[in-house]
Amino acid sequence: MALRVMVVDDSLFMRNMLKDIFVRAGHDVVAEAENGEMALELYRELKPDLMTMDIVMPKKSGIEALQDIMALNASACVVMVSALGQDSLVLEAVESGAKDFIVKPFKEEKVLEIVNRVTSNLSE
Amino acid sequence: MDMSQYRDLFLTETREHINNLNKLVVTLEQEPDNRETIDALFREAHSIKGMAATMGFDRTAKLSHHLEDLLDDFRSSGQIPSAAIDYLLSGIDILDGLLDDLQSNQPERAIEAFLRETPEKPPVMVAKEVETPQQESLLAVDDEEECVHSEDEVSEPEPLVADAEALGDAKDDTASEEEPLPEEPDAYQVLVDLAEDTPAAVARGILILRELEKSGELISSRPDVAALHAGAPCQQIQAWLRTSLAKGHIEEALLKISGVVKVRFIDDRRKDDRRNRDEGARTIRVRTDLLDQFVNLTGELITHRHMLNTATSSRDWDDLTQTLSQTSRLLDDLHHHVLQARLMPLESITGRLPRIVRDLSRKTDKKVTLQLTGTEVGIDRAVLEELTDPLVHLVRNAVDHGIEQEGIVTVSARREKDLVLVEVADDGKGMDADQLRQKAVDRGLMTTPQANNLSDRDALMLVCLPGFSTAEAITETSGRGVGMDVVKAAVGNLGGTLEILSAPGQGTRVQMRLPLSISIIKILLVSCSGQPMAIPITRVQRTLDLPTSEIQSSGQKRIFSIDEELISLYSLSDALGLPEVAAGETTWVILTEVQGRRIGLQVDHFLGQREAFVKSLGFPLNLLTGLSGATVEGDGQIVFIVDPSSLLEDRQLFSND
Amino acid sequence: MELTLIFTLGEEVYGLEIDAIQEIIENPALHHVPLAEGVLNGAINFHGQILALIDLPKLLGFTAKERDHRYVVLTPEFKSMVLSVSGVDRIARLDLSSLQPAPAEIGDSAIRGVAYLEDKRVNLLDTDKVINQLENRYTG
Repeated sequence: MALRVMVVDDSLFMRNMLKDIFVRAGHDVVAEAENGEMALELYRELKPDLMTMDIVMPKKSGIEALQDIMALNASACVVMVSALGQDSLVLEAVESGAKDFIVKPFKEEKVLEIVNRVTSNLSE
Repeated sequence: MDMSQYRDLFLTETREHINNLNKLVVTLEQEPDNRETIDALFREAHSIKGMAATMGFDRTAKLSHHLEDLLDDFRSSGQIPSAAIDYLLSGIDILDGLLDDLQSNQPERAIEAFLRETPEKPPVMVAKEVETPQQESLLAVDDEEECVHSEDEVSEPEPLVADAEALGDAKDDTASEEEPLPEEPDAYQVLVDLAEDTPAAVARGILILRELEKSGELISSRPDVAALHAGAPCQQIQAWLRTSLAKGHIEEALLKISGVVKVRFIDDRRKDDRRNRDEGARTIRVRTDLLDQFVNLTGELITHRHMLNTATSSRDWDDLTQTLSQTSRLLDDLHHHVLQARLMPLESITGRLPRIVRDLSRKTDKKVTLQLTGTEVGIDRAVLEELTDPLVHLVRNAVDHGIEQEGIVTVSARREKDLVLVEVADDGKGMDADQLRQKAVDRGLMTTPQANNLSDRDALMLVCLPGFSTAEAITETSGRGVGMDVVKAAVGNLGGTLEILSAPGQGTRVQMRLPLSISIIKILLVSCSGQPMAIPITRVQRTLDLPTSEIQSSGQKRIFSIDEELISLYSLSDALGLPEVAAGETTWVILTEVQGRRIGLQVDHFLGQREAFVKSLGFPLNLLTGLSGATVEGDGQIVFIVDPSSLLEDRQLFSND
Repeated sequence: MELTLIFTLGEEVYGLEIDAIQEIIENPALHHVPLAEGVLNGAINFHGQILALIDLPKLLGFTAKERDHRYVVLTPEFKSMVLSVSGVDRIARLDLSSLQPAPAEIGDSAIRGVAYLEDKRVNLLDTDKVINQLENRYTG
């Protein structure tokens, strides 16, 4: 089943990479955002099935954005994208309601594996 | 989340930390600017705080946090003002009290009054700054940097320590830590292994727990969310789960989680384990190499079982005999190693002595140094537990009555064949045998000739008579006999002996010779004509509660059937010559074997299982066939250990027809 | 002259050297011993040792029922048995250098010989024989 995905990252490189992975897997990337504020706005508008969320971003951090989104919809499906060594931030994100996390650098199949898992849980 | 399973471990470990705190503060009092000691103190308080917070023991956490803050200030100033020592010590005492509360399931006591008394920040720092402002401020920067370093050191090693403990404890604790779990017949244990290099493993662990929660009722887990937050290692997550979902389904879901490499299910064995938990579970750390040896020996025993099977089926008697003798060697080896595992160093109970000596010498205005030597000697855990109070008594006595103004109290230990000699010595005024003789006469305990007839050695032992010297109390602390009767009884209870060596001006040495380990067996306690009796577990095949109506009489004999086998029923009361107690609707029966045949032994009811120290019986009790020893309950009650086989054979109640 | 514990069994006066005595205990907690019949009156937890209380008058065939509340604990040399007697009297000095054989009418079941204390005859208890009698009774 094709998912409506939104990719949030301040780096275009990362956004493109993730977007390509999703498109190859047959999903629709309905929006991209480069900071937390924008992510929140777009989320309100588009209600995507899945969001990937970078943690360290200007304006609003990924965790703050996540927390705001969870306040809007506690069952929102958000997967964090973090760098190695951000364990405590990842922990905070998971505690705040992130469904899973992807650690950079990542492999395509890993990303899809995680996405499949969290979205299958979602449909249950 | 059920934290109660960690309670015992928490209590044990925190007591250790408190011991260390006491020791360190006493050391610090002598060297107030010893940086390492302050750092170590800080770490101890920090550890307690972490554990208490994890357990949700708020006041304990708050108090240890408070002490930690205070120590942190001292750490920055590099010195502890002497006024703060007393404050720290009373804080440690309150911590100890809080643990008592927690141990006895009482609410934690109030700590607010103590928190309000916080001493002023160390004035030393201010004074120094005034003296040499510039250099000092440079130094202060250095200090701060050092602080940061040491804080790193503080936080870094902790997971490692926890890790090592988890490795060491995981195996021996499985039984005890499962204890508080409610009975869940359809529950099972799930072991989830994570890849070694899993990034953000803690967050991963929480996701795994979340997945498990979705699969059914997560009864408990190790680590759990709180433990994960506290930094518990999570290479493996053990969870107890009650679920109606198929194992395969759960496994699949778990394996989908990134980082999960292996999922295993262990059927719930808690019902079996439950039998072993009559006495409050106590934890003990076991060195991993010892565990390895257990594994090896068990492996060899399994091999030997195969060899025995083969020999039996081929009826090769030579082979059988040979394998049996090898097996018994292996069993001896195993027994030896198991006893080894019970050994703990004497220092695990000498930790509070420095503090006790310090407080007591202050109170009595004496200058007493405590020396501990040989405290690494290993002694059976059970012996150590019983030795704790006697040791304190002896050290108190030495400070109170041995040392006059200034002196040394030495606690030492060394191995003597299969005994341990624990000695408490002082270089004080010593005891005068003649004075003791006189005192015995004055007390009316013996006549003058009797007293004169006592050897010096026996005269010194007079102090072990109950109340021998307490009557002469001058101050709140009485003569040297304080508790000596208790000490002697405790040593005797352990199968040890006590000796006093002393002469006027020569100091006093109290020597306790103790067995390295005690003969400990598992017993089933039963009530028999209203009296407690013990039966070695090894003699019990099974316990049964039969409806009395199912017992048939066949002539003089009573018979019941189990597993389609007809079994004769005998009465333990009858066999022991005790009055018979009529069974109610249920007849409580022990299934045992006599002369190769299964028989039932009726008792009033079962009182439970426990470990017991076996004491040998004095003459002529030792001649009574059927009694193999006795054990003494906490209240002094003697419980005899019955060997059903020799009992029934001897009483000729058992006939082989 | 030897220090000797003077006690009675029934109407007879007995003596036992205090060298053989570990302690005299009063009213210890007595624990019932299963299988014990006759002269084993119970077990005593004596500083962690489990010792037997022997009814000495009964063992030696005295019919008197009275027993002192004080018991005599023998030294380990005499198996640390605890003896119950009819009455504990006192400790006295006794000349044991010239023991005389026991008169025939009281038998010699457990008497090592007799001595005299202020003209009264004192039977010296033979602890070895007591042990022998117990052994015979409880083995076989």
